[in-house]
Amino acid sequence: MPETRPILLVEDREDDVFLVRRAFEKAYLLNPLQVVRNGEEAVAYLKGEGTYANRAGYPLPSLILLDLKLPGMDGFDVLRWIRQEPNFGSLPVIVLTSSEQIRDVNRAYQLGANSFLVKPTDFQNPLVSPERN
Amino acid sequence: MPDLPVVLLAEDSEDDVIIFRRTMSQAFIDFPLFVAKDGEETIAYLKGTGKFGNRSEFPVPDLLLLDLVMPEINGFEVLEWIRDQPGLGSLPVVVLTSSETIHDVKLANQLGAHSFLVKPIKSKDLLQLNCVLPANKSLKITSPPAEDPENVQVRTTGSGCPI
Repeated sequence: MPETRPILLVEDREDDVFLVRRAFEKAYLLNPLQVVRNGEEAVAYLKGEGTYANRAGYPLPSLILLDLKLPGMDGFDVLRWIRQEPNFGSLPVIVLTSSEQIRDVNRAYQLGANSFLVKPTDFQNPLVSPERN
Repeated sequence: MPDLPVVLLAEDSEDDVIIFRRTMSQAFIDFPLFVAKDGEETIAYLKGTGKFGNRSEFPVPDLLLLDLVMPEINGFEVLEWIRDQPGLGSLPVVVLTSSETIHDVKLANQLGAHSFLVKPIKSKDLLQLNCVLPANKSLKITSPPAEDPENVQVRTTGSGCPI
């Protein structure tokens, strides 16, 4: 039975959202992709606040793809928040970074990230699967 | 007043060792640096076997900079070995990788590496190594350069520590 819980993508850049969607299609990933555009929305989604109170429409994700560079509340803040929440302590978080910002991954690991993907190269390889990462 | 850390650099490329030493002197950073040229030598150094048994000549390191790609016994195997040594639990290991092999870092992280640096290592990478050292050890700038604000960095602690 395929996993049907969504993957939550926290990404503000439209180009990168497109990249991730396309990579999912190429990898035949069946999980629905829920997209939020910033850190505050990610927290609201996970907390089930506002629009996201409708859990049927916005189920809890099995995995989070988290861009480290976000407007407002940045990826590190979101990660820190996720890891201090008792319900989300072990929720897998894969951070998204660029090759210029690769050193950010060190800090992400310190804050509890499980793994990382490098934009755009890791999404251009159709065999890359966040689930297998 | 913190002491200078003893740093063991596990690096098979002589060129990369030269570059590292040059980066140290360009950044006016000095500390006792010992070099192991492959995985086997790294383990021997840490175990204190053979010539490394002479700890006044080869002191126990406070930090291991570990190249992941080395012949015979590679960096991952060294990490696995370290993980099995009860006495080395507090040795911080910073792995060295290249941008082409950046994904190696994931396995290194799972095997217990503290953090990573991408070669070639820059001066500010060296300064940030202070973040992985215990409080009683610190890299010191021996003589601050006149006009390089990037090099005049105070050690940051806690969440300000990038590595």
